[in-house]
Amino acid sequence: MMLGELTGNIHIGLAFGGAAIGIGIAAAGGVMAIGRNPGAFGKVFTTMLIGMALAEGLAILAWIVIK
Amino acid sequence: MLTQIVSKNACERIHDKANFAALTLEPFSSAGVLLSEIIFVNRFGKIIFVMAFFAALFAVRLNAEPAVVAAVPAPAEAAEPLVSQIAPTLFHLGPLPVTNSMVCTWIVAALIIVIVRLTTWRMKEVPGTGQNVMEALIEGWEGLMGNVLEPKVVKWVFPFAMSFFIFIVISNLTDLLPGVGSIGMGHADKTSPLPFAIEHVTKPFFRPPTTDANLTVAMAGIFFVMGLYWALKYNGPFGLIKHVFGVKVETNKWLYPLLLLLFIFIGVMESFSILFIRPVALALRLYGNIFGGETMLTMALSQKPWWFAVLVAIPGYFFEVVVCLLQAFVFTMLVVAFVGTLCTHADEEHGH
Repeated sequence: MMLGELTGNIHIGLAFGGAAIGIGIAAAGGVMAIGRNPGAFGKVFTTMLIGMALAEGLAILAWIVIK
Repeated sequence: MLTQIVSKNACERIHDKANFAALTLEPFSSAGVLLSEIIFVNRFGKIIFVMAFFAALFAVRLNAEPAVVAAVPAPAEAAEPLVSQIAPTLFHLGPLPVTNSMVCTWIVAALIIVIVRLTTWRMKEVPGTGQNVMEALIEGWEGLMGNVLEPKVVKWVFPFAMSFFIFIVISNLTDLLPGVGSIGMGHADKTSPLPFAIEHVTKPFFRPPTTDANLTVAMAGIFFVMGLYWALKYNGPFGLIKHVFGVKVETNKWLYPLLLLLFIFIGVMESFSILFIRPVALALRLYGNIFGGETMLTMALSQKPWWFAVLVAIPGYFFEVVVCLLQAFVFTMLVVAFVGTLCTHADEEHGH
């Protein structure tokens, strides 16, 4: 008896799950930092976006390059 | 001065004549030549530069096409994907295949040239609407870059990164226009009462430029060459090697050989990152985001009951507006940050 079946590109799902966790952590850190020091909004926001982009870039690398 | 620009509010910033003069005229008027002549030469040079840029883009895309096609295999399980990863060829111009994304690139470029010319042809001290927008954009970016880079390096990087930003923003936003990616040739829909109805578009007339990997790879390649050039110009050849492989902490002479080995190992990894990971990730991030967004929108709009398609597509469009603006910002900001890591003095890092 088979209860379920997993097919398709599981590595993409795993990679994007990891990227989502990373982006969430970056956003949480950014919100905390801006809440403590609202004057540093610009710098914190820029750094947060760069961190998010780097986390997300690896997932997209996994999506496109690895087959 | 750059931090001052950032700390002022927007209204003051735009009408501050001193900053405006410093931004536009300072580098040129110091040479002591007539102002009108310089502006003419400057514009002429810029036009030549734009032409050279397009020629380079043309050549790079011509060469890049087979390589990228080989590197990005089409998904095997879907016989005909909604949006193909390879831009289909519309027609041939001599020996050169012209794809639909190339046509869209030219339209976007023409649009940018026309808009920028119209808004900044007659610069006024009290700016009108168009000039106001351009000035706010440019001064905002100059302030952002001033946080990361030294003033000398800002002067090198600014025109390059700014052109990337404007070009990528407008290219990304064509993704959201109705008709881009949905009008074209494909299988005819027999059941529809409309005369030219198409079931599935295989060869759209327009395709957003950044959903073509050739364009993003070409842009990342240009960044790669220019980044290395700036790093060499700033550090010198030996300075660059010392910057990448050298010991960056204060130490005594007993620990030095050990730390040297460690830092050489770090330098090898860092040079792998500089030479390979950074440009590839830069290109694929932009391509993947916009291509994924385009696929998502097409998929949402091809759902069967029309109200379900609309229901799915509207949040998708909101999400895509954010992604399009954000990816252009991220691409430019990463270019600036990557140049910033190479063009800094190692001595300043001793303090902290």
